[in-house]
Amino acid sequence: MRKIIVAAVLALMLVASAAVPVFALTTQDVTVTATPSFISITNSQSTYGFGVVVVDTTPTTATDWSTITNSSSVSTDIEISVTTATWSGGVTWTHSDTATKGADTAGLKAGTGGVNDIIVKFATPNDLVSSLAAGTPYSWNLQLIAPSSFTDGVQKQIIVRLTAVEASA
Amino acid sequence: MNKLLVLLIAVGLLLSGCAQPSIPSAEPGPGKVEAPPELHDKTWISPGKVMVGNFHPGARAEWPLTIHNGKSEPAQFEVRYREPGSVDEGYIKAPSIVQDWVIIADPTPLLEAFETREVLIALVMPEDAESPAPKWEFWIAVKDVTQTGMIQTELATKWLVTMRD
Repeated sequence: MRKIIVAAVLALMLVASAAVPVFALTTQDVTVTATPSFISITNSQSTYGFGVVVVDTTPTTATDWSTITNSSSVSTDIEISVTTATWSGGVTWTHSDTATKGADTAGLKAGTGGVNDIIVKFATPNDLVSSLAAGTPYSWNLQLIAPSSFTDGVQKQIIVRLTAVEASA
Repeated sequence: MNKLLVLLIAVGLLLSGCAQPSIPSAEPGPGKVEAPPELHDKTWISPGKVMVGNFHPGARAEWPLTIHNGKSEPAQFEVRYREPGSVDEGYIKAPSIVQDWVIIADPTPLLEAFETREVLIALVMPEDAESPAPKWEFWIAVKDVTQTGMIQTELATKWLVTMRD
């Protein structure tokens, strides 16, 4: 009987010791940390109308027409994109991610200081500005690449989105 | 003697029961986020980056995303998974399947004027999933959907995930 008790106690010790590493695995395996930063931007303009658009033209806003205020506590990248692949209204326009005009196909470019060298895309957006320092404003302008031909004269619209994210390391 | 044996076995079973593995996880670390007073009337989110380390199939990582409505009226927000436009050095864009691994506790929070609220974000990788890469990145984007007009703003938190070797 004593042998049985000894065997049972040994078995119990084995079970207990096997339990310890399982506890460690479940609570110490994955690590999660975060930067104590705040991300915040505002933009001075909420809309722009290019007016009556003529085919094969590239109308622009005034130089540095709009200003982003970066109230973040860290430097940020500001990405610019459109939220849909088409312009709404009547016969829709296709939005060109290469800013190439076509039949019912338009594009947008943006930039600063009167230069519009950044394509405003739907897929895989570009940065309008990278590593914008905290508290620093950024003024920008916008340009339409009008279609080479229109099907109708109904007003078209697309939403331009500015996304702020902590600057890439 | 038999009672002693039964007792020993019962204790053994209890201990082995306690050792049943749960999903490996990391609990949220910080307490409430205190923003500088000058951000009271600005819409902001925090944190800017969440770093997950030693991640692996079957693991779970959580972090609360804090959202502040800087407007003097209620605002509806949308919280969603987003593919990054660009990524930090050494990371790749997470494949689209990762979207299915992200749980957003409240994807459409309605915040009162100047209210600050936490929304828990969890990343849960299925046991049988393959690692997309040693290091990968996705974003959680927050947008005030009461914005009108052609130019709208959005704020995003980066999630930078490093897999266990």
